[in-house]
Parts: sequence; structure tokens; C-alpha cells
Amino acid sequence: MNFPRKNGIGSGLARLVPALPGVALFAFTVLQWAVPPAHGQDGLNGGQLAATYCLACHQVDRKIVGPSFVEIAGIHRDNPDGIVEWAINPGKKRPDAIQMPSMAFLGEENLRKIADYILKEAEGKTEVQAEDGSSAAIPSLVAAPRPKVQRIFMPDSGPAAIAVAMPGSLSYCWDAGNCQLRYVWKGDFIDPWPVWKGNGNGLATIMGDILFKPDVTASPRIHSEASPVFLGYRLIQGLPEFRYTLGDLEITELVKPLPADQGFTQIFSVRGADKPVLFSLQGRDGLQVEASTGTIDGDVLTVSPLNARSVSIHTILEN
Amino acid sequence: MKDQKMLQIPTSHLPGRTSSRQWITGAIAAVILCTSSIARAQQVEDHYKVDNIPTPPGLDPQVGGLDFMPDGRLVACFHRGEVYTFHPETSEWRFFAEGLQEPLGVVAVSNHEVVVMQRSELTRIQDLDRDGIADSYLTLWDGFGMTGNYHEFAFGPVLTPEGNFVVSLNLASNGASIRPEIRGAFTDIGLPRGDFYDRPWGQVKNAAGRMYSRVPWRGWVVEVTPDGSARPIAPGFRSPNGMGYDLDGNLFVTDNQGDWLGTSKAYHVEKGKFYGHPASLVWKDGWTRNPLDVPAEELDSLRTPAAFLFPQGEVANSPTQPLCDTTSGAFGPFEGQMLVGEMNVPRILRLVPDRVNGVLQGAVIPFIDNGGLRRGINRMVFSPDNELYIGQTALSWAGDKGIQKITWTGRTPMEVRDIHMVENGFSVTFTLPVDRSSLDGLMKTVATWTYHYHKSYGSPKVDQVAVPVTAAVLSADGRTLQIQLERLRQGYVHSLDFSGIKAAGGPGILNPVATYHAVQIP
Repeated sequence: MNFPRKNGIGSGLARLVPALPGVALFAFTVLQWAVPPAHGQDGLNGGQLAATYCLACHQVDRKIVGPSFVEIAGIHRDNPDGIVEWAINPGKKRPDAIQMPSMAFLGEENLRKIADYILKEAEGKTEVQAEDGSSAAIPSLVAAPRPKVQRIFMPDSGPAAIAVAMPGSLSYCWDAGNCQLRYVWKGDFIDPWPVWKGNGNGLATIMGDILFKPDVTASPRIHSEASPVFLGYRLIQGLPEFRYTLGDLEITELVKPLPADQGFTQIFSVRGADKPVLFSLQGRDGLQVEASTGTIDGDVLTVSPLNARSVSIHTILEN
Repeated sequence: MKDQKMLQIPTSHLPGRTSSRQWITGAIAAVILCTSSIARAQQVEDHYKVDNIPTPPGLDPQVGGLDFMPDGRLVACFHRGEVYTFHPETSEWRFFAEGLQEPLGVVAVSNHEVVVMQRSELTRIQDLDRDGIADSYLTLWDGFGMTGNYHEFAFGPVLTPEGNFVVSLNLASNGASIRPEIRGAFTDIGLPRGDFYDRPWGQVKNAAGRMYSRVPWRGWVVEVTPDGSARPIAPGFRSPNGMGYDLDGNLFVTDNQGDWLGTSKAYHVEKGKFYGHPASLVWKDGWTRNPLDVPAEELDSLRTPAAFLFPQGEVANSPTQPLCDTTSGAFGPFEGQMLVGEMNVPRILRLVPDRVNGVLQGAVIPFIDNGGLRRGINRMVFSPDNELYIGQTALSWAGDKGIQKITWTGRTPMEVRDIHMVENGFSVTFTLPVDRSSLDGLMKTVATWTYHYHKSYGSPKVDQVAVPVTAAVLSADGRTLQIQLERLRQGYVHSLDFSGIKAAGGPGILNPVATYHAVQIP
């Protein structure tokens, strides 16, 4: 079980170079210093070592966080050194995968035992395909019954995003981090599988066309110097009425579709104002906007403190 | 004596303890035993029965949280954000809430209200109109940061003895960077935020640290009052997927092997102490240094050692929730001790507490090994009828999904009940009187070792010494065994292997290996 320290790695490396640009250069360096003898693990066989250090992320015949032994064997069947090299200095092949931590501390000899074990375990086996999440037994959200609320990582939003499918064909993303409507789309709802398939290292996919997307980072919904504090939501006929504060302002916001999905209405209630409340209408260029109260001047709707207790803003996306 | 030797064979389940040759010998011996009807080794199934509970259709039953409502319904939250209740008498599942973001813990406040920790917040979920379905999702606390990194899980809540909620926040992993938009303040200590976006991740990931805390309270345990005010309890955690209180109100938190954790641990957590993973120190009042630049020796002097260690691969790889046996004996002989789930193998462990020089420490012993368990045991709760409900998850790591129920058959297993470190050795109490003749096979040495404390991932066992057993004395009632060692090693794991010990007139010990962490010695 002597690992060929220079030649073996060198020859294995030559085969690895095309697959791992950027990694090869320092693989040699690492090997010269980073493989101390692993006192304490000596005497364990490959299976015991694998159970201790590998099986949390690699299974024999199915992909979990890391590839299966079967897949690893498919790559390194004729080159166990390749497994050792990768374990000492792991690269990253799949854009959506988590990069493996270096196992250099185990030492070459133990890693070679593990490599041999992986190849032996994989022999004659084929990979079992994991459920793809789209089976009829577990309905996806793409065409979920509406209304539907789902908190999930969304594109172009803060990480505390809330996706809402309204009755009809409009959906929206509301960001509980900055308490703002981020965008509205038409079509199906979301495909959550990129997030749900694993440990959260993905974003849900928007299953439609975005029709409204204000630049909220530049223009807050209600003008205030205060930071928003999210307080949660109440479901009204299945749709969330969000609650938050901006300083002394206590605000609720409910988003509903307009008839025939022509657009959407934001129904605000603002309490605690002692001066006119300014709503930003930014992002609505070319769209028809109507408000139940107040005066519109450019991108700003101004409402008196009293009338701010109930304000409906209609945004018509298409006629 | 011949019988005894054979009887002990099937009890050695721990990986690495039994060669395949021994297994074959054991199998042959077992066959001989069964056919000759002399006796049979005790099995888990004789003492604890594991039943599968069907989960609701139409969802992915990876379980994030379990609790019981006052009316006896089980409440469970699942991977994709659903909350359901289950009536044990009718086996009926009922939908309660949905749309949560990776909920990883639930506390039932009433028959109409639960508090759930999800990735983004601690949420009070209520059924206000009493139609059985939740209609109000109030944010109890979201005053912690999120970078969008996948590893920023949020665990809990568990109830404190005062009725507050305790939650814990996972660090981010340098398996990935941060997202363009984040929530909360960002610390530039050691690596400015811009570098996370502007430079290739492969170039900066080491500067971030293997697991990193860039937004508030990542790597901390935090207490939240019912009115939503939060106070941080302690930093130093990496992936603290498990919290629980014992009968005396001590909080235990598990943490997972990785950088700065040579092996997985359970800490006795007290306010203001530091538990070893340095990334979270950046959120300590007045802290300005890059934790990765602080010498390990200095961090070592700051940290509080774990009360319990779980040797990686042998005892546990990813311990989860510690749950106190509060059943007053209705679940077997381990009242008052903590049970702990495990992700990688089908096993529940037991924390056997001891107190030396005022410090809580003790031994980890498997409680149920296999016995029909699935892997991925993430959450546990006792029913009003003193059954243990357990929920499994994987989240793409090793694990499983679903719910199981464990019932004590009423038969007491032969096990180590308590271990106390005494001067020059251990005092060990068993659940049943020991067969004196079985002491002939008592261990001759106790394996001891420790682990590196360093920023590398995991650690081999280091400084291993087999300490000779110099004497053993069994008490008159056969229940307590005093074991004298040549010496005790402060700061070291002491692994005591009781293989071969039998109950008087009964079977061999079921789970023979006790892994004691001697933080202190008398």
C-alpha cells in the first residue's frame, strides 16, 4: 500500500490537467507539505475510513451532496491516484454543487485506502436516480392551486423573499428584508426545485414573464428615513396582508389582482403619520397608475395623514 | 463462560470495533445458540419497538420540527414549509400551515398556535378564526442577518424553563459565496464585502474561512422572549443543529465536526462563554480582530470545552437534537438523561452526565443502534403517552425522511446507567445487577485520546494511550462497578468498553462502549 509519492501523483496529474485548469499548478506544492501522517487513523481499513470521513456526503449508488461512489469510480476507475489527488486538493466541477473540503489531514496512505474502497464498492453497481421533485406524488408549485404563499430564495430579492401566487395568472415577490414589493410576473408560479432539491444552495425559478420591476433599492415604497421592521402577515382569503413599521409609521400592505389580470392593486394602511405620506410610484413609466386618494406628481403620490389610513394604488400592466 | 462469550458478539455494532471475521464467527455462534435454545442475546427489539408513522401524502416528509399540542396532537413541520398535525388515536393528519422557508424547529404554544424557526425568522403562527388552518404569521424575531449562503440554517426554537425561546444560527460555508442582496449589517473584518463579489471565489474563499460569520449572530445561540426581544447567549458555534434542556434547566447544544471541531460535540451552554468556533466572535461587543488571525493557543484559552464528545465515525458524525427523558421511568431506565439523534447512521445516543469539580461533563453511549431506526434522526419529542416520536431529514446529506415512534416494551435492557469519574478511576452503575463471572472479561485497558483544535476540517485522534485498568470492584448488590485506572488524563476522551459484561442470569450488555470526556479530573 505504498503510495508512489512523486511519480504516481505526477502521472495522475497529467491526466487531471485538462479537467482541472488552475488546480494543477499548486497540486504539487500541496503534496510536498500537506500530507502529514495521520496518527490515530492508522490501522483503520478503507471502509472504516470512508464511514468516518466520506459517507456524510457520498453514498455508494446515489448522489447526495457529493457524487456517488459509482460516479467517482466512473471517472477514476483506472486511476485511484486521481481520487487521492482530488481529496487532497478538491476542485469544483459542478456549478450548483458544494466544493468538498480538503481531506489532506488523513494522509496519502489512508486516502489511498479510501480510494481503493470506493472503487471496490462501486464495482458492478449503477447509480440510483433520486426523485426529481416533479413526481405526481409531490406536486410542484409551478401550477399550484392559487392563492399560494411560499417563502423561498428568489432571484433579484433579498434572502427573506416571499413569493405569492394571486388568483388568476399574476404572481409577485415581496421582500421581507426591506418590506417592499420587488416584482410582478404573469404566467405560472415558481419552480422551487433548485432550492428544495438540496440544502438551499439555489434560487427558485420564476415561471412567467416579469411585467413590473421597480428599482426599489433606489426608491423606497413609502418615503422615510427609518429602517423597516417586518412584523409578519395575516392571510385574507389566502393572500398575505403584510405588516411592518417605518419609524412611527405602522403599515399594512395587501396586493390583489385587478379584474382580468390587467394589473394589480396595492392596498395600504398607514397609521401614525403626522405629516403627508409620500408613496413612490417609481418603475411605472408607461403604465397607467390610479390612486384612490391623494395627488400624483411625477413618481410620487402624496396622501394626507388621515387619508393614508386607506390608500389603494392600481397599476395597470396591460389593457 | 462459553455462552457468555458468544452472547457478547452481536452487541458490538459500532463501526471499527468488529472485524468481518469476528462477525462470521459471531454469526456461527449465534446459529448454534439459537438451535440449542440455551439463551439468546438481548436485542434492541426486546426493549424498544420502532414503528413507522405514515406521513401526509403530497409532501416531502423531511422533518424539521416536532412537538405535541396540549390536546395530544403531534405537530410536525416539513422541508418545503408545511405544518401538519397528527392525531395519534385516529392517525389522521390535518393541514395547519404552509409556505415557510426551511423550518427547522417547532414549539406548540396551544392547540391553535405554534412557534416555528424558519431560515428567515422566528414566527408565531396562529389559527385566529379557529377553522383549523393558520391565518396569521407574526414575526417574533428576524433581527439576525442572512447573506443567502445555503449553510445559514436557523435552528430551534426550544422553550427555556422561563418560557422564552432559544434559537441557534448556523455559520455560512465557504462552499459558496454570499448573494448580491443580504439582510442585516455586514462585517468587513478580514475580507471586505466587495471581495465576495469582485474576485473569483476560489481566490478569496480561504480568507473568508471554512465557515464564516459575516452578518449578525451567525454562530450564536440567542434567547427570544415571547414579546420578541432578543438577547444573545453565547458565541462559538459552527452548525448547532440541536438544543435541549435537562431536568435541572441546563442548556445543551450539539455542534458538528468540521473546522475548529476535531469531532462533534455537545456543550453545556452558559451565558457569556465562548464555545470554540472563532468566526462568530466578530459580533462580540468590542471585538475588532480577524478571528482567523488569532493564534489557536489564544482561542483555546478563551473557549469552554465540550461536555460530551462524539468520536467521528465511531459514535456519531452529525449529532442533532438533545432531548431530556422526562417520562419519570415510563420510557425505560434512563430518566433525566438526554437522548440525541444522529444523521449518518440509524442510531440514537444517550448523554450520561457527570459533574467533576463543578463542571458538567460525561459519557456518550448509544441508546438504540439500528433496531428498525432510519438514518437522519433530526428531531425528537415525547408524546403524552411517553412514546418517543422521531423525525428524519437529509437536506441532501446522508439521512432519510419520515416519522417513527419508539415505545418501551417494559423490559429493562442491560446497560450502563451512570458513570462518575472518581479519584483514580470510574464508578459505573448498571441498569441490572452484574453477573460476577462475566467480570473475567472486563477490559484490561481504557483507550484515551484527544483531538486537535485547529482551523483545519476535523482531526485525527491524537496522543492515543491505552491506560491499564489496575483494579475493579463490584458492589454487594452487583449494580456498581468501581474501576481503577493507572491514571486519568485531563482533557482526554476515555473510552470504556464493557463488552462481555452480563446481567446476572440474563443477557450481555446491549451498548457496551461509553465515551467519557474528562474535561476535569477529580
